Amino acid sequence: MELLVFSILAGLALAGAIGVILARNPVYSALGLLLGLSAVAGLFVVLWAEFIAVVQLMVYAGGVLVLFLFVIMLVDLEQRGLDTDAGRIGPQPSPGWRVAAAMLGILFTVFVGALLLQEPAREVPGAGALDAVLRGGGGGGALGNLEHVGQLLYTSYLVPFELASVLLLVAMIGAVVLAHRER
Amino acid sequence: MPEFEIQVVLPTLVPAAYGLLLLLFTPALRDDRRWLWAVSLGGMALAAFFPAWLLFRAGATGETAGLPGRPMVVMDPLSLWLDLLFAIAGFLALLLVPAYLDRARAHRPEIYPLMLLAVAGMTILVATTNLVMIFLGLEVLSIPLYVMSGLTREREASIEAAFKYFLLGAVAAAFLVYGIALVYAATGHLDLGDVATAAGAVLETGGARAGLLAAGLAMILVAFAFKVGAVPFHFWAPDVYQGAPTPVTAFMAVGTKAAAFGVLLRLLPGTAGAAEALARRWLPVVAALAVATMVGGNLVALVQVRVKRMLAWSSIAHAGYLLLALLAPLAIGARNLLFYLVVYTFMTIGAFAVVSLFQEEEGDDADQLDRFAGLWKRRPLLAIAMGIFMLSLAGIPPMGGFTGKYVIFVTALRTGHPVLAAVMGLAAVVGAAYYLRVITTMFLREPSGELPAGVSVSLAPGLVLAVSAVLTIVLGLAPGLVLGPLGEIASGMIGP
Repeated sequence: MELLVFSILAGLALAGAIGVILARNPVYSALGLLLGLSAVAGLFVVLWAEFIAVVQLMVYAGGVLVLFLFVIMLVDLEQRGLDTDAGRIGPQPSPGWRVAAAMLGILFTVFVGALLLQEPAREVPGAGALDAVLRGGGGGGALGNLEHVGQLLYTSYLVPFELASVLLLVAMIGAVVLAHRER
Repeated sequence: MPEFEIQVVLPTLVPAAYGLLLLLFTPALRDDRRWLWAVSLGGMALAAFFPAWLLFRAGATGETAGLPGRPMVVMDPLSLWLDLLFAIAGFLALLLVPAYLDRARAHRPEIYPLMLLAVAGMTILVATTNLVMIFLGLEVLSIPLYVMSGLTREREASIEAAFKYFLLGAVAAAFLVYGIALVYAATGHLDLGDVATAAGAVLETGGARAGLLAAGLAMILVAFAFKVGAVPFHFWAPDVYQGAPTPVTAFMAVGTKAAAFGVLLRLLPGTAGAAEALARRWLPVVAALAVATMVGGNLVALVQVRVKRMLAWSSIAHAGYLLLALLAPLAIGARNLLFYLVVYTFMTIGAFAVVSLFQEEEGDDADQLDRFAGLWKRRPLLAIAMGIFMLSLAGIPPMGGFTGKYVIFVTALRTGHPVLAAVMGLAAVVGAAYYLRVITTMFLREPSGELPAGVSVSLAPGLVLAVSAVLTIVLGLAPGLVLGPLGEIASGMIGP
């Protein structure tokens, strides 16, 4: 049962990701991304990480994607000649390169996938505390998912947590600096 | 629980806090650039002072300090030494900024806080053994660099540089995250020390988990090979180095390289120290990267007609020498690597400082080789300074660059890599050709055409040139001054 649900969700996530890069219309790309991100949220549920699943839906599917769609719809792409191949940067890669790159990607995926299938993640030795959280409080007794994440975030992972806020701030400033036009 | 020791995060906290404060005041002081500049210089000086002070207090073999538990932040002589180097590189690059931006007619006060934040990112990167922190540090360092590359929007090349660097950098970041995920899948750990311990057991049993570990480490290696510009992950470097404002290029070439090699120093020997089998696997990969980088960088640099682009390829070639240093046993390899990074910092910033003076009236770079013709007759001091940097980059004896190359070369010979040493020697000889071409152009050719307007050295760039030139020579004449302490640091590093 778990495997079945996982396969369906993983398939949806893959289909969404492929849709993002194949779609010509950016709106369809964004919708493909929505499908992919939602499927990943489903995968988190399968892993008993319901808090992360909800956050994934709220932040990515809810926040980030809506912003994406706003930008796509507000900026008239056709007017700027970005709706077709005209907007592509640089010379088109030759079909040979495309096939080679695709083959390489598929080969690597199969390689890693086969290795992962041989070695179910559950048997990982000495899985850390974060791992326990992802498996829904398996390692910590009475505490639930949310408490676990909170506790880790404000103890062991405090420094990375603060750092992530600096990172987001820097990224925001960078975007403003680059996009802002002097009047 | 041990007490939280603020000093552990001081080298990161100072530039980060300073950068954020500066951001806060930038809107109010937008028009008072000199003031902003002076304040950011002060911040960079503080960012250099704290690691230096802590290093002095701890001594070269000093103790490692960390936050409670499995430390997210470690402070050891290696991290402090590199922190000092980043801040010095940032300081020298900042000195070049106002003159360059004025001539480029780009009023971009944002560059000052961004430079400080990039330094903060670098200090995080080298002061942790946790893979999550490494990822965050790399991003905190990279994003300001993407933005700074595109700050002179009036030049199309600058926008191209920012865009290329951002897109390819994002791909590299994806590689890093995927690699970290695979390493975690194989070992169940994110801390490099734990990973190394687990890796030993994993490799002993072999099987799928060993494959995952190898794939993960390979992807992490790819990400950092990209950041240092090692062939074949160098495609971004020439365009980005050429397009970015020259002071930013100087900072990027030096700082990013030092930070990435700092991580590699922890990552590769760290995982190998516990598992000889792993070392046998990654050594050939790094060796192949080093050969491709040394040969590729030097050969392509040979045909460049723009000095800035030539220096970009030269910086790729230097990444190759540094990779070669990484192959030696840790105690000596780390010493050579750190010494080369120090020399490289001064000679590269010096060379880019000279190039940053060559600008057209409209603010574009005027770095064609022909523009340097007869510089000796027009600006003798500038020609001498550039000559020093070129000789040092080429590795000609009295200069620091020679000593750096020499120790790497000899170590490679003695530790059983004679072929690699031979490749390095040949690559350096080929490389000398294009550095010497700059010198012959400056000293032997007759001046022709107008000298670019910027080539009247003002105080700040002059200071950069003087400091870099003097230190390049001093490091060549008395390398023991730095090699000695670095040797102690390196021998204290064994074992993660």
